[in-house]
Amino acid sequence: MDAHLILIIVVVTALAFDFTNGFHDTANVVATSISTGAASPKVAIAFAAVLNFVGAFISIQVAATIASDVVNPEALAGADALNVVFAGLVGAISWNLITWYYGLPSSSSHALIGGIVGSALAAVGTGAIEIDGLVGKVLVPGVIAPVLAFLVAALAISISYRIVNNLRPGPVNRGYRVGQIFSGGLLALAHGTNDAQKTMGIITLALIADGTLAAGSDPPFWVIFSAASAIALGTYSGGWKIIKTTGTKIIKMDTAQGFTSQGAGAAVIMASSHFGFPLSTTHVINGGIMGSGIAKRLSAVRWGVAGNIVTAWLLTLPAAAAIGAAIYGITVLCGGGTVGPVIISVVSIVLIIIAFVRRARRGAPVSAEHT
Amino acid sequence: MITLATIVNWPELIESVVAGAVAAITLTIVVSLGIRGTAKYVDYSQDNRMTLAYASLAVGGVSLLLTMALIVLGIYLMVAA
Repeated sequence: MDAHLILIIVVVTALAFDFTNGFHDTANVVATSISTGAASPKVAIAFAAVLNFVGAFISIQVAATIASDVVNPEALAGADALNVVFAGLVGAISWNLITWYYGLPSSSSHALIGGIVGSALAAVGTGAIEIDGLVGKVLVPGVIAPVLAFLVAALAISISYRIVNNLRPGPVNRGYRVGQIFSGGLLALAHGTNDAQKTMGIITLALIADGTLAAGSDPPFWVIFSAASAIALGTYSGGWKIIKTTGTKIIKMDTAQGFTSQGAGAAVIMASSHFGFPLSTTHVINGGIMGSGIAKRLSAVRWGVAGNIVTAWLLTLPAAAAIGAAIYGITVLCGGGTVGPVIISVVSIVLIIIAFVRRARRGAPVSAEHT
Repeated sequence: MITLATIVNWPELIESVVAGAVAAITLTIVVSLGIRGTAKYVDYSQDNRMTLAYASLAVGGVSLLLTMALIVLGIYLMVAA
């Protein structure tokens, strides 16, 4: 009974993480469309939510990487496996909410991976970590992807400006606004494909560690459907403060820049998902935004804000890992079993409510008029 | 000694980099050509230069079809994996 209860808590926590992932990453998907006026906030977010849901069904390569190439499910099976997964998830959710509270678009994906690695290290030691998978499939692609999006967006915007040079701005802006419907849609699809799969991977990892699934199994349909639903709901709920940071504070964009940054981001994420690389959509789209800005002029990018974002990126893996490890320590102090996860879940829910109330008191969410 | 050269699956990573870059640049060129074609169609129509106007419109139409085809191809490749 205890094991089943912990498994239920882990699945619910994973879906809660997926919800916060969608909530947190809405900005990455819709900010450029909103800031250039290509779509109204409500339409852009609803469109993104639907395509996030659809995107989750496209591929399971990333889920396979998360389930078996970051930590070793068989090594975890000897420990308090479900508590390890639970602690990692709480570490990721905590870091997501901290960065949401301060309006920083850090990476939900790296928070998840950091949290799981931290709790696995605390529980089993380095033997639980798949160094090859972590470095080869997460860290190296994670560094390359935003740089690639930056370079591709810079090249793409230069080509765009040359092609539409000497044309009247009215038709060009209208054209790129229409183009942004496609590029924004592709970005939402790519986001659903890559990010929803991370939750599928974590739930699959828990099911393997629990013995419900055999090692190397694909995620069952109910896992895919519930992960797709959770990320879509989170996306629909939106994160207005982060939308403002991403959409207007990094650079002031024109419609061509919005289109090229979204197109570059979508192409990079979809190509990576095809090979099972669990990228950060946040890193990639922000790389694209900066690339499309720098092609116009260096001063178009607000480097102070960009620097804050990079700092948040660098902190994400170690911070989420530290929280994940600490949470696992608390479950051990509670004697293992169900008690720790239940206490931590209750305390977390209370802290989340307090954070939302304080956030609301500090100022109303950014409205459509502000973006 | 474990090195990056042995840990990273470079052929997959390079293929992913090339595919992403080529897809993004191709999409940008096709959409931008479509916008140019459509904008030129309006300009030429107003100047009553209908041959050039229709040629520009054809560029716009072909670009739109190519954009759709590229998107469908990209999604097909993902699903077929």
